Amino acid sequence: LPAQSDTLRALAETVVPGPPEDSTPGAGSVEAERFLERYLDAALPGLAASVCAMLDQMAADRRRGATFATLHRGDRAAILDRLWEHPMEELRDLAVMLSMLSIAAVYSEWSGTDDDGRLVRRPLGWELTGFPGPRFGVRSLLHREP
Amino acid sequence: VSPRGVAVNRPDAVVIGCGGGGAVIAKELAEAGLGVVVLEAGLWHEPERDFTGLEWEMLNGFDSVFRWGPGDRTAPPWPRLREGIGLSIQTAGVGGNTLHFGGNSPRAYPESFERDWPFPYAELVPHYRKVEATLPVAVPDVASLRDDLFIDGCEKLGLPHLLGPDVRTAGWRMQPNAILPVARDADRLAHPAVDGCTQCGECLVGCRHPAGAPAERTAKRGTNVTYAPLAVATGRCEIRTGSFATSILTERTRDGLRARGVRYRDTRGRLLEQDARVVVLAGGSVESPRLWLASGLPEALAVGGYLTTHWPDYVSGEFDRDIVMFEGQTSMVRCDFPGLGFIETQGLGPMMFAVSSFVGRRHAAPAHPFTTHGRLWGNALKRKMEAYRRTLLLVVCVDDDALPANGVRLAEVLADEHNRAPVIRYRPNAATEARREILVRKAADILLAAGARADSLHRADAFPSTVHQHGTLRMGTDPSKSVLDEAGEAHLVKRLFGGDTSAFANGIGGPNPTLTAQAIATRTAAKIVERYFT
Repeated sequence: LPAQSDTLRALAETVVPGPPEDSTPGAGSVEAERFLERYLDAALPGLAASVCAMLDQMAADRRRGATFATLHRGDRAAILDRLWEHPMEELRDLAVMLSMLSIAAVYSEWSGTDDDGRLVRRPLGWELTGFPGPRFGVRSLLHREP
Repeated sequence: VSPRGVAVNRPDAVVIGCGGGGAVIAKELAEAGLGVVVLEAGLWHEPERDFTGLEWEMLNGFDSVFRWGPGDRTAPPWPRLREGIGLSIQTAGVGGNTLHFGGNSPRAYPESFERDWPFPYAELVPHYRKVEATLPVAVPDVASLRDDLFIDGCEKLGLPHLLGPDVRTAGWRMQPNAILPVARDADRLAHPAVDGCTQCGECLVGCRHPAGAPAERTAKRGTNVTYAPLAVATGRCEIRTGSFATSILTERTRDGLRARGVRYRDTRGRLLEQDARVVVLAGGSVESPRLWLASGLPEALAVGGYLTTHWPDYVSGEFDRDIVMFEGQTSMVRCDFPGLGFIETQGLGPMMFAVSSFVGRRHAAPAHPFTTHGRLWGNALKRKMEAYRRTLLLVVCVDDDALPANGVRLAEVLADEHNRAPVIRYRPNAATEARREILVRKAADILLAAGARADSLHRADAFPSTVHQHGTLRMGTDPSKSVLDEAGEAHLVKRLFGGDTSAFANGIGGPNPTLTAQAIATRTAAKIVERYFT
């Protein structure tokens, strides 16, 4: 669903922004919305749609006629802050899960894998951090003096 | 189901769970001459075939290799509810949580045994020695760049270098790790040219190196490559994978209630029963009390209570040069503070670093000396991640108080195919929080003394998790405040023993719990033989 994808992408970009809000690529560059949709629905079937409906409702409450994806980043962050500190523990947990998934979409190996989960290119997160990826060992450490 | 080991049809003992504790007690009982069946919910992985070194594939809570769920990863994970807990971490499979632990194997702080425990620390020492020799545990003689900086910081603060395994005063020391010694001066990184740890930095995502090594010579000594194969090698132990225990079976005798076996479900969905003369609960500090409660065993006051977690926190600082935290064993040096807890270095991949460091409690403003504090999003998160290679990360684990209200109970409605789901509750008290604040400040001092930029210190203020979990079927002499007696046998159900961290009377002062669980499992095995098989 295009609207759902827009909402999830805006959510992930709020946590890990890319251009124009940041100088380096972020969640939008790796289509983090696909990652969030897959794993929210893995946590609970239909959760992705429910999350989007809730975020859009909160956006409309904040600015009449707005959807979460059409809000400025500051407003989106304020909505996620409300969830983060919501009196209901279930909603606080949901905010944590949304944050973790947004981070994992960018900084795990996922963006470098194909549909079967095989690593086929260097993931964005490894480029952004200078992480070399799995290695057989580190020779320089085997030659250090005690 | 692929049974490993000879078929044992009429076992003396059935052990529920083949993780850090269960595999140990199975091996000890089988070596003592008992027939043993181990029921393991997950698979027995082949490290080189099944472990990829990739963070998401190995560790995510939904469909990863190390998740808590059926071996068929297309099936959903087993659910649980959390109150006050951020991450609930459990691993299905032979090896249990030792599949992804860092291998850190310190002993408990002796002072922790002077409160709560029903036997003295000295009684555990020979069992520690046996486990340390069997795994084996090795103290590295060479550190990584990350660890050198930590040592430098400790020494500048005047913290002494501790020698020996029994820690009674504050100081730093090399980590006693259940990892084969570092393969020194190796130019090739494949077995058999190299035998030992290659410092690849992948302890937490599943050790599979040196490349080409047989499973039993992979460097990190999870029970999947140590105690489980040793148990099978006795010829008296069968490990049944894909076997989820659903109920402990009991019978009434003139002496009271006693365990007589276990009902379990295999991967084909069949409910089977296994009779035995003794039953050992070793599913971990969440599953063991869950199974007790789901079996309708007596709801004694302490069942499911007194959970301790060490409530870890993550503190980091940036340097002007590469630290490459991801090189070397996950942690090779630590600083102990009996009475408070401990601090250790930590090398994480970028995903785990980000999730550990930047998904904590939210703070409006950082508290001195931190320049960022708690949850971090947006441009600030991006800049922190760009400094990943230059960042030194420390973990703080606190000696948290064992409280009766913290622990595991059954959910009202939520269930999996086996039983009602567990609700895991953890809310620290003010004393625990105060100790944690002191330790976090000490971690910041070490970073600054090591040369971290003063304007770069970050504190996660992480949510509680069950990365370390202990105490929900605690040992003790008072049945109103404990579940297991001084031998590890249930006060109220004879022939039912505890074989995992749930037996802990307290959080052992803060140190990583695996070695202590294994020493207690070794001791409990001897007690089982003494009580019922001599």
